[in-house]
Amino acid sequence: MSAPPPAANAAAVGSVSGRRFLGEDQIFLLLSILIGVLAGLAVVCFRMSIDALRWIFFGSGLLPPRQRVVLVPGAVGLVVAFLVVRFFPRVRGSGVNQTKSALYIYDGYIPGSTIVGKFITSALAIGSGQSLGPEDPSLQIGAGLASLIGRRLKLSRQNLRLIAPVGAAAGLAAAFNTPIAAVLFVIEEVIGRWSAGVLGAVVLAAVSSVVVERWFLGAEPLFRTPGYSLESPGELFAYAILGVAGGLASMVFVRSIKFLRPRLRAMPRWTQYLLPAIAGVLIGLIGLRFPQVMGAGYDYMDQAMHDQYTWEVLGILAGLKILATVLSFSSGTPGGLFAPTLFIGAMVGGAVGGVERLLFPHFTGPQGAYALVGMGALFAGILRAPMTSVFLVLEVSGNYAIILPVIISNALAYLISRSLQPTPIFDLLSRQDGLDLPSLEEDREMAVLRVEDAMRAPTPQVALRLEALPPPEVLESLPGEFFLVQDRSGYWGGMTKGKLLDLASDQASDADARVQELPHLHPDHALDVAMRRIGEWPFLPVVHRADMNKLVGVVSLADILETYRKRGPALHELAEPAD
Amino acid sequence: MTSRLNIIRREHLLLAGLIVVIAAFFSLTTFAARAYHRKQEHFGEAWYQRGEQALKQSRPSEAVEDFRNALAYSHDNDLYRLRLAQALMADHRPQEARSHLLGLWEKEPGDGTINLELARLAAMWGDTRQAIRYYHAALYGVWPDEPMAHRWQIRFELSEYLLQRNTVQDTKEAQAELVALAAELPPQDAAAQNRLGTLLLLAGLNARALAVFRAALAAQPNLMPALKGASEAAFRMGEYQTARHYLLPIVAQDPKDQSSLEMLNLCELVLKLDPFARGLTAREQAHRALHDFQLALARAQKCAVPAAEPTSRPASQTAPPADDLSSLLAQANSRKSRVSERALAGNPDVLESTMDLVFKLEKASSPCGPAGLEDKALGLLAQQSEAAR
Repeated sequence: MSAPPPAANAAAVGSVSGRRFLGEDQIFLLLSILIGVLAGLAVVCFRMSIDALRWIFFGSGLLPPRQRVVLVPGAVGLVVAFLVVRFFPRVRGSGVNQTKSALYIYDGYIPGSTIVGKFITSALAIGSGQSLGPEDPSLQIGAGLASLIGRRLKLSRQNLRLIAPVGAAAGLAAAFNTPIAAVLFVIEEVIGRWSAGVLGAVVLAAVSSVVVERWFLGAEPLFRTPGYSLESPGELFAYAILGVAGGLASMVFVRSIKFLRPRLRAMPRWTQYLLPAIAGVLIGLIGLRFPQVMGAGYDYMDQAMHDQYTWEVLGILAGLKILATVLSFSSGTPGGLFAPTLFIGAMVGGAVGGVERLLFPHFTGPQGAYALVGMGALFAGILRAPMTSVFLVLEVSGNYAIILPVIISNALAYLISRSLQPTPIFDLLSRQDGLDLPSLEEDREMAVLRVEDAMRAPTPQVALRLEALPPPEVLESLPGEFFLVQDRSGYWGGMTKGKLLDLASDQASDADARVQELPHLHPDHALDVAMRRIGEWPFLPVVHRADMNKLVGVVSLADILETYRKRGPALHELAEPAD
Repeated sequence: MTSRLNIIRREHLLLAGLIVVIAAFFSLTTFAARAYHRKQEHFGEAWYQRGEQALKQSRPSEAVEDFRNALAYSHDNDLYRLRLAQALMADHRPQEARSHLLGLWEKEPGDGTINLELARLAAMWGDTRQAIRYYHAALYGVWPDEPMAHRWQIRFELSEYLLQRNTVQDTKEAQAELVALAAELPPQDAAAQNRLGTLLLLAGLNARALAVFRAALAAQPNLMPALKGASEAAFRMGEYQTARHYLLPIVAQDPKDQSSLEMLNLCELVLKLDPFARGLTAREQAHRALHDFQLALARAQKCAVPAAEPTSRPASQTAPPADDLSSLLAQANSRKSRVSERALAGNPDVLESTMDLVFKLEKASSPCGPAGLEDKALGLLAQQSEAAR
């Protein structure tokens, strides 16, 4: 992504000092609703366009006519490649990383042409049968619209940065019809932090976009799942096996993209005109025998959930979908990974459920339940958003009875995927693109240094009690000019040596016996809290949370810096693996 | 002051502009969405009609694909999903059908059609408990059109299913269903009454079966299956006169119907050989009893002889215990000289004891192989006498 034009930056910066009729926070919340509505409308149009293109390309049946299966993806792939290379180079890929780039690199700037390009090229690609989904593009379209509006309204730089993820949440929520999962995903994967202001805006945008989406496309969940109830706790073991399988499948998928994508990107520029078409032809060839792998594949996921395939077919479909998606995505065709992830998950889940049913017929639930749980497992394993994966399954199915298997399976898939493929897919993609975006998963996992790691035990040399001051000659001999002193009420404050000497020699009045108020710390405070609070003070008291009069330690700036130096991440930990 | 007003005006204008843009976009999307939904409805309906056509023409696998396509355009359309499930069942893919049906059942647990289809699936898999549960749910479920007719059909189906299982418990449950059905069915519906009568016969409720067949015949006098059913029921009940009454028109209409003809002959013989028939004079009674005695004695003697000639009897047929038959034969032979029409006519006790001996002889001779028609008739009389006792 190129840098934003100076005018946009200048406008954004310039508005910081401007006074407004409404506060910028209020405007931000109001805008969140409007962005939600706008993103919802855009996503509705996007989804209708994909369907309309599909009808044009393949007719109204689920199974495409054989003569078009290879021809259409190939021919449309050429058109998409031309549009991407010539007019919309920023629309390659899924859109999640582009939104993160807008947040972390480009001050929330997403060009208007990206919205148009993403809409057109993704609709063409998905409608023509490329193995990609509409959710990530919806996310980027939402983020782009939000960015555009934010720029027009000359929001401050900080709010302009945040407005893109708000739009992203709206786009994703409308695409999946899942407001909770969308909010969680944007918080978990894009913004990476919870704060009341951001959360409020993201929730408002997600809810308003879902309301719009439901208004136009109906309120039913994405899948109609068969009834499920956990018959015996032993069944959970079967779902744990699914989690393991999901973790392994995730690893295969991510490693395949890790292997193929940089190699295709390294090819000469002219090949970029052909790669989507070649990927399309290859997918078309697969589609001759297994048309299920073409497009987003929601109807086939629904079928898998209704026991329409044997476990062998489900296994084949999972494998072929991995192949087809790796081809489509690595070729630079615009489109998302969410739907293929769910597809692979449904097929892996159904296959594992089918095998388990063969082996332990009294031990396993319906195959549809496995397909559903499998979706969550692959979502957790590939996209590495464990919380989102749980809520996504609940929301797309409207089935809350399945939560226990989902949690178990997702957790296992996530852990296995993490141990076998440490770099999450979005981080991997951003590094392949030469961007150093923050890895929110790595941030989450990074150990937090706390005050207790830096503090020293309070010694009489630094901590004194007003009621039991040592004689002046002893005080005189103590090193340092500033001391922590506990006053008669038990409060720990600060006092200079001179004042203490006056008090010790009874030359000071009671009014002079008041200690200076100091910021207090607790042992569990993060060390950067101590860093921010210490200011000019030579040291700060660390007191017990349940008894503020109890001094448990003392921390100085030198202690803090020394702890960071000794226990902060090593250089090799900060260095990111090259892909 | 002026600059602040300008800022306020600008903000208002921008927000108002944004709202106008959204309103315009909303209108455009509304227009596009209407066209989109119309197209979807059109495709869905077209595929649905194709599926219906395919199902009518017994091409269930094509129907499955068509209904799937229809469903893709209307995920929430329960009718499409139900028809898909029915097509899957017709295509012998019960597992897939079950999954759709369970989804529908969760949404509409009281729907008659869904419960009926689930009952059929459970019956197919031999899960009797579930099948009965779903059949009953279907029975008392919601049927938008002709609910009574659907309920009758379900009771028929459930009864047939239970009778097929052929266990004592299931037969009892089937009897209960059939009795309930007998109270519900309109008497003028000859075909339904006939079907009910047939099932009552299978369930062993002969008297009720006869009443039901009579109702069917009252509605449609020459209904051949009802005539046959009525004759069968009457025959089983030992009402040979009634059975003959229903058999006569059957044989008259189809003289080649061997089973009916044989049953008619048997009835006539029973009626002819029965010395206890009402309205007979003592002489006629004695005449019949003597004839019966001679018949039974002849058969017993014939049955006893092959003990000396083992090759004349099929290997599968074993002789009755020599003691029983021989002692009965000895009794019969000793009585033979004393039994005459006069002796029998003058003493009802002798007639009765003679007939008792006749029935015992027939019973003891039964293992000797197929009896003649007259012996069969005597056998039936023996059964009747035993039942009366």
